[in-house]
Amino acid sequence: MEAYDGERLKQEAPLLHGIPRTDPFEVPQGFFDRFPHQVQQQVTARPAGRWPLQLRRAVIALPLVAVLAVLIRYFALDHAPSENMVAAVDTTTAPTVDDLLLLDDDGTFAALAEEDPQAALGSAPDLTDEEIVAYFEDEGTDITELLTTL
Amino acid sequence: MSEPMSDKELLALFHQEESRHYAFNLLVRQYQRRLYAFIRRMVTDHDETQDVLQNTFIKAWNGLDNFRADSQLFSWLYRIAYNESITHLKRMRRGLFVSEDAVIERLTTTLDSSEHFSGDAIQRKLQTAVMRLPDKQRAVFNMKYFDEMKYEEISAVTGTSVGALKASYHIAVKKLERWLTDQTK
Repeated sequence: MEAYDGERLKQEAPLLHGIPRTDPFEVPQGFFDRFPHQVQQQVTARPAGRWPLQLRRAVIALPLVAVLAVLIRYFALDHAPSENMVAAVDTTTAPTVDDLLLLDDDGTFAALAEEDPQAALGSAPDLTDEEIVAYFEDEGTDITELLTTL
Repeated sequence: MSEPMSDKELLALFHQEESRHYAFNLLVRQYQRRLYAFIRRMVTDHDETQDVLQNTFIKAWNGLDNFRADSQLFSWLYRIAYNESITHLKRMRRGLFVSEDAVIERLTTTLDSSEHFSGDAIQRKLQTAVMRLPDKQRAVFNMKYFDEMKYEEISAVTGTSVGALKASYHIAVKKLERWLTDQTK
């Protein structure tokens, strides 16, 4: 069953088979002459100081790794809360940002509490929100789940 | 137009610093038409197609140094174009905050209002029906039906097994026939 073409298509989908397989989409005159130049301009006009993709990803990932490290430290290694801390944090539910602010004042969580996600990634100022979202999409990360976890 | 260069020759040129841009320009010229046709059938609008095609080649430029010559250059470019098209359609949905039907409506409206659509009524009917397929199934249908690619080639592009592709194509053909039948009643 390599092809669903010819006789089989004619029998099972006669209407579809009867439509000529032409490309009905037209391209503006001269487009394919101009387009290679446009692409060339794009690839040569990239800002000289622009960070490589891997470095930009690392810059995004580092604050997240730091946050995860702090969470792991809190929940796994250093989980000996004082009575005051137990009173302040309801451990039966996932910690809120306010809870986390009580636990750590190194600025990481403060940045996360900002409404602007750019602020949460303060060390990557040249990334737009769209680029950050696209990064997470490329990585297959569920942003909603990530925010819930944080 | 001169004889197209082989992938091997293009890559050899690209890997030499002095001929890098020249080789890339040749690559764009060599593959732009087929990639454009595929993307255009996915997003329908010419300007959006141009954006997606441009992103495809920019990503190719960024990744060509790491391209492994054991796979076909065209399959690799096609894979980037496929991913970019799917991402573009997802962004469109997210931007519109609307239902699937509304997105189909927008795509078909674009088709109706396009000055760059030369198909007759039956072609329009077919394209409208194709737009009702889910994105990935539409891509598979377009690659198989219009681009006449082998299932193995489509598998290399989409990362889907050949068996699943055959099933997807079969279902797409059935759906289209049903829609076309309904339209002619």
